[in-house]
Amino acid sequence: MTTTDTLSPHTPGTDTTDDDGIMLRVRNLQTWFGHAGGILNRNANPVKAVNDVTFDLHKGDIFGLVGESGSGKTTLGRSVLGLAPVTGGEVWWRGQNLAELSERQFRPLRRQMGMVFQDPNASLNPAMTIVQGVGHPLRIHGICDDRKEIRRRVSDMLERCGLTPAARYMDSYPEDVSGGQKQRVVIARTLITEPELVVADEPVAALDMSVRAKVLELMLDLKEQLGLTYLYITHDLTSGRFVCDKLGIMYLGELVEWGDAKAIYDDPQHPYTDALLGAVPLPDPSRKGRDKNLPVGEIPDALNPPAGCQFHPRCPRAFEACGWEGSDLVDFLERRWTEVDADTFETELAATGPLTAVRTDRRSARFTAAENSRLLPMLEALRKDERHRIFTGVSDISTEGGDVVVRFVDGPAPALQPVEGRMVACHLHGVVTRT
Amino acid sequence: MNETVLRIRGLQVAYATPSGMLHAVDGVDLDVARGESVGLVGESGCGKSTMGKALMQLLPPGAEMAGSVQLNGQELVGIRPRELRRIRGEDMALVFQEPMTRLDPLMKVSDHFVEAIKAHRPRTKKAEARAMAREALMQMGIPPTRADNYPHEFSGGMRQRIMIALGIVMRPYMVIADEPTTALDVIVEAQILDLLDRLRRDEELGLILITHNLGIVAETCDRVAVMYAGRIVEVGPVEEVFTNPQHPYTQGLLRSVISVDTTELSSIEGSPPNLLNPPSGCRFAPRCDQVFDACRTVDPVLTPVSTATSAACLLHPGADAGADRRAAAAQQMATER
Repeated sequence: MTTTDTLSPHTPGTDTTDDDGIMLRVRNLQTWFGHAGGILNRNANPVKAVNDVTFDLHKGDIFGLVGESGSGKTTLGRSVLGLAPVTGGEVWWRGQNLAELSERQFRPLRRQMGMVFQDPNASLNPAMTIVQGVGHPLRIHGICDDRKEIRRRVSDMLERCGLTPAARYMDSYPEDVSGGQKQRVVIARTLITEPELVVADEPVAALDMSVRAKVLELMLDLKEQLGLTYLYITHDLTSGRFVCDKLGIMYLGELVEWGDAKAIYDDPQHPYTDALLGAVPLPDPSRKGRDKNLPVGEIPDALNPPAGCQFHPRCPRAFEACGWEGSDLVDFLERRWTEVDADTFETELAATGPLTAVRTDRRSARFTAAENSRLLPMLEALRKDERHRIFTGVSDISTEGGDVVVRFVDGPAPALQPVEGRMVACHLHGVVTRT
Repeated sequence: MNETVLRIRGLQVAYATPSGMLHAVDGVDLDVARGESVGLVGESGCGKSTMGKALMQLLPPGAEMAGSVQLNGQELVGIRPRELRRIRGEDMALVFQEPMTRLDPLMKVSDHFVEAIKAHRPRTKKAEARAMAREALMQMGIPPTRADNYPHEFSGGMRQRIMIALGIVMRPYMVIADEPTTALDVIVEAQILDLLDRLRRDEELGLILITHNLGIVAETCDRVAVMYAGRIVEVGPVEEVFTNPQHPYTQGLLRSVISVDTTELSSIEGSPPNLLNPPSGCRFAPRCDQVFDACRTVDPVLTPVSTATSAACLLHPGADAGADRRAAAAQQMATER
């Protein structure tokens, strides 16, 4: 279980890695892209690829960072290693804030942190033999220059990574070995500098089903033998339960739930986590047809993220406080019209007028081309149906200057709060506003 | 429900390679009934995608196809291109993995529909075609108000819905889907599979779902066919095959699935054989954990192991009677050609 210690508020500027077993302390980390704005995007918002992310990585743990494509999990992994620009927040490692280091200051630390990428084909230089490729970091970091010694170390590491006998692989080229073996070579190259932290970004996603289990097994064995700590980035929830000690669920650049992996799998507390876990297809026909309670829609555009809780437009349990806004009403009507019969659709479209004529902002939706006498009763009737979560956030429906205007209550962005031994950013557990 | 819409017999697909003919699909029999969904599974290189391409008649140049594929009694092997174009769309729909590469970025979504409908029914009025498009889109959960948008204005999941809507607009009765959700995230994948399932029930579509994901098969298919080295090694109802697999390969495959319930990792040793030179006897024998002497020489055939399931494994009596049967089938095929 997560100790209460981990969940206590941090004191910025302190690092106690060695005392409390926390190897990496990430605080309010931000990686925003493109807020300078070019000629083509004069008033562009920044893309908040990673926004206000806070978590602890304990020594010896496997921390699984899980999310859909575009959730920012890869950028977060790269930001931690200084491979993506950090625009705010702190990453504490051994009393040093990595986010403040220059590239030059960071370089000597790199040998203590390794990264394994998804595609082994793209991570290996095809012109280098395996012994050259795997031994390369030893030269780069000035750990070892002696050719014989390098060969000995590479041979040891290849054997550790299950490439036995190493002599068979040493002088061949990456193209000579299979995909699974290539990923073993990549892992060997990552571990040759004896790092303590390994960031593994989808290490098995590109591999065939039958090989995945073997590579995961290798990673687990190496963790035990070499005392590694992993940040394991994946979109695949199925391997997470077996592999991870801790889990962090990301959505649109933010951590929505993190803590003990078993607790999260057994009893997810954020509706998004619940939805992700429920959506995983199970190889068990007896659970066929179970109610998955799937969220509607897809992960929104990061350039224009939803207000309040970013998951609210899709959330099956969203309520008043979740951040409803004008554009949600347009989306609601569009979605509704895929479910009603053609006559109802035509009638309602005639009442609302074209949806392109609806002007929306954070707190309102204004129907500028509507037939008001039909739209007002239509909206009031929809409002009474409690299945339509959006109307929990509607404060007022009225006519203003000839337009029908729907107003919404304020919905603040939720902050992480302790719930059942883990951290959750959801207003269902009490409205806690992010500062 | 028992009416067979797709009947595959002795299907063979071979690719010409510099080192000789490679039989990627080597003698497959399979039936799909109206309204039934059949999952086709196996490791990469087992022949499942080649089989899908063959059923869709989308094999690359240089590939040869033999045997018989009948769609509602009509033979598709050796069919004339003009007739094939009619069948694709009107009788059979195809759903692929990458929806964006199949939609024309310069055409409105509605125009894709108008074009497809007019290709089959040239005298359809544009307004009528647009109404058909809107209905198909609504059925797949695309707002009718978005029909005149361009493909790039939709998300990945919505594009795949549009592709499926395009496939079903002429109301076919057979759908072949090759990894339709592989490029999508898990929630969107579940949404699309839900829609496909509803569509299949509402329209009584026959469905072949080609996937490497056994979870998807367990959740959406009635029957499953497990392929190995170009052949079906076990086929039967999903409930039976998943709970009581009879072929050692199926057993290994099910054990190696990593799911949220996994407590122990497992995998099948070795890798699939080179099909240019497949091993004699049972093709799975070199990797099989229950192998015995006869497996190295006798090539097993699919044999009933229960009322509804068949497996091609010598552990089951009758599977060794295959040598003659297979030779006879090959003989017959040769004379037909």
